[in-house]
Parts: sequence; C-alpha cells; structure tokens
Amino acid sequence: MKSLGLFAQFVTLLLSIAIVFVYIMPTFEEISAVQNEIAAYELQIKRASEVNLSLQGHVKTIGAIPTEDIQRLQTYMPPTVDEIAVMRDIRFIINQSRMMFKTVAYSGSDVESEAEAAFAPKVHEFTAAAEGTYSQVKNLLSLLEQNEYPLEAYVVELSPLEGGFLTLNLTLRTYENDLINIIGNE
Amino acid sequence: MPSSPNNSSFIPKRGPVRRRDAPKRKKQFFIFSIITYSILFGSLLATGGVFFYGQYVNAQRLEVVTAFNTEMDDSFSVQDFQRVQEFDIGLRRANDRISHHASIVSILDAVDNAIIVPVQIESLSIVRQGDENFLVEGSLLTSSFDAAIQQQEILVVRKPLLTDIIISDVNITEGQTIATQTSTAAAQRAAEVTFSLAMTVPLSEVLYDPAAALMQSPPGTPASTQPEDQTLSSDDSNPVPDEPEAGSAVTEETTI
Repeated sequence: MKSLGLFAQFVTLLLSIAIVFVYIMPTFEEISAVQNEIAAYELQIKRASEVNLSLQGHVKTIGAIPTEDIQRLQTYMPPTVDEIAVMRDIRFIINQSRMMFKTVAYSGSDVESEAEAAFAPKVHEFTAAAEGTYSQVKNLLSLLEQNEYPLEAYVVELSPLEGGFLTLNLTLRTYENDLINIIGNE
Repeated sequence: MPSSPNNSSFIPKRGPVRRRDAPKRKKQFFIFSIITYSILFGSLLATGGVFFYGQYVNAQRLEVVTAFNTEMDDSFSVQDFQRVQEFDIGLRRANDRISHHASIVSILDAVDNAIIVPVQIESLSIVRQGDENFLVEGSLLTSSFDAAIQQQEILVVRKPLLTDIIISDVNITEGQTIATQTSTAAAQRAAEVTFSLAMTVPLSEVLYDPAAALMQSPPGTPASTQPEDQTLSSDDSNPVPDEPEAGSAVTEETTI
C-alpha cells in the first residue's frame, strides 16, 4: 500500500467525515422515519383488520335481531318525531285515563337536554292540560309511563277545582334519535 | 625513473570508491494511512449500504401502504359502518332514557303514604330536574294544629316517604279566618292550618318498574281505591265524561 502524504491523509479523513455527516446520517434518519411510518402503518393495518372483523360481527348481530325488536327501538327512539302524532297520542291517553281533556300543545324542540350534549337526543316538549279526580290523574301518569315511547313528565302541577276536581298541567318530553348532529360532525 | 605524468599530479589520488553500504531503511508501517484508507472505504461502503437499505425500506413502505389501502378499500364498508354506528347510537340513547325513566306515580304513592288522615294536599307541584331528582312542592291543609304538628313530625323526624329525601321546608301558618267569622262555612275554615312542604326525591329512588306498574294499575283502568282523606279534595264518584268537551281539541298555539 502506498503511503499517503500528510495532506492527502487529512483530505481523505475530511472526505470520509463529510460523507458520514452529509449523506449517511441524514439517510439513516430518513430510514428511521420511514421505519416508524411502516410500523405505524402495520399497526393501523392490524387495527383496521380488527375493526373490519368487529364490524362484520356487529353487522351479523344486527342482522340477527328480530325485526319486531328493531321496530320497537325505532318506535321508542324514532329518527324523526311527528309532533301531530304525539299530540294525538297524548290526547288519546288522556281520554283513556277518563280525564277531561283540555289542551295539548307543542312547545318546540329547542330545549336543552341535561344529558351529555354530544350524545343527547333531540328533545321535543309538549304541554297538556286535563281535569279529573286524583285517581284519574294517577292513572293518566301511569299510562304515560307505559307508553311505547318516552313521554317523560317534567312538570306536573295539580291544583284544586270547584266540585272536587283537579286541574292537571303537564309538561311532557319525548326524544328524537337525531343522528345528523353526531354523524355529521364526525 | 621518470614518473608518469599521471603520477606527477599533486592531487592525491583517490582510491577506488568504496561504496559504503547505505543504512537499510526500515520498512515503515503507515498506520495512519491504513486508518485513513479504512475510514474512506468504510464510509463509501456505508454510503452504498445505506443507499440500498433506503431503497429497500422505501419499497417496504410502499408495500405496507398498498396493503393498508387494500385493507381499507376492499374490506371496509362505509355503509355497514354507518349502519352499525346509527344503530349503536340509537340503542345507547334508548338505553340512557330507559335507565332514567322515572315513575311520578311512585312519588304520588309515597306522598299519599306519608300524609296522615286529617291532612289533605291542597296543591302539588312536581318538577323534574334533569336526570338527577324531582323537586316536590305541596301545600298541605289540615283542620288542627295537632294534626299539622303530627304531620310535621312524620315528615321531618320519621321521614317515611323515601330514602334520601330532603325536607327543605315545613311551615305552619294559620288560615285566613278573621274576616269571615259570620258564616258557618267560614267558621269551619277558621280552624284550617296550611303548611308547605318541599322535598327532593332522587330519580334513582323512583325509577319506573314495568312489572310493578302493571300490577298496580292496568292500562286504561282508572284507579278508584284512593282514600279520599289522602287525596286532593277529589271526588271520584263524580263521573268524568269519556269524550272531551266541545272545543277542547288541540290548541291553536301548536307551532307545526
């Protein structure tokens, strides 16, 4: 091997160091970043595979639910609330309780729910008034509690009338499974 | 003897050149050159290795990305996901509402059970405060201070209504009597004592129990066994028309 001069040795050493710092180390960093990316992708593939498996399982589960149960769920928490139908139902329940129907009105759907804001279904509020005896009042409240969809009594006011009757003022709430706010935001 | 001209030179003749053996140079070991060469070749080798390994890693990344896209595009169904999500949200919401489905009838039953015979409820207001509790406010009417004190003792000391009930206000006030002492009815009212009651009923204490509700009151069958003394001055013997009065249909204020 031919010996190098001192200057040549110095230049060679500098060149080597330059190669290491200018090419090898940055490339190593890039490779490291790419390897991290690969690991992340592999993790995501694994997760996606798990999600797909889980999704297929859920789809099968939903498919196995009887249609009647799904209809009951749709009735209990419908995607849209028909206010007229609800008022008709309230009037029907009042009549069924043998109370004297006075009024029913739709108060609106802009009532803030106490439940988690993001998860809360849309609230529809109704007011109703009827007259009758105390036992009829209890019967009416019992019928409302047994309704196929929630008619939650938020305000119940009883006041006496002439002749031993009572006036019942009710504020009722029902819920709509409003999915636009949740799925639309995701 | 004549000397040869060559010999007459005064310059001393030099003898035959004896070549002195040059000192043998030691074979130098160029350690620094070897190190330098090694570093240079090493760095060049590393450069090549890094280059090809980078290519390999990039190709691997491409494979993984392709596999990921395939997994997402081929196996994942957005429609299925949306269907499951909608169903899940609906189910969770329904479950949330069912788990907070309270029975106001239970509150009325508890109030009925807590009210002693000579005491009547004059007015009652039940307001639901979110999914936490009910605020029950009532005005109670009795004929004597003794009954009022007895009722107060039952409500405050014994707390027979429901667990965790807070009796926030029990006031005894004498009825308005002075101005109406001329008539007999007014004289009877003179002895009336009213007191207000406010209590908080946790919603968890009055959750709706379908089985119990069905046993207590079948739908469509008005209960008629409520003792009159415990009720709101109601008279169950008075018939209530099945059909509503004329003009009592859905009010015009409906904003649909």
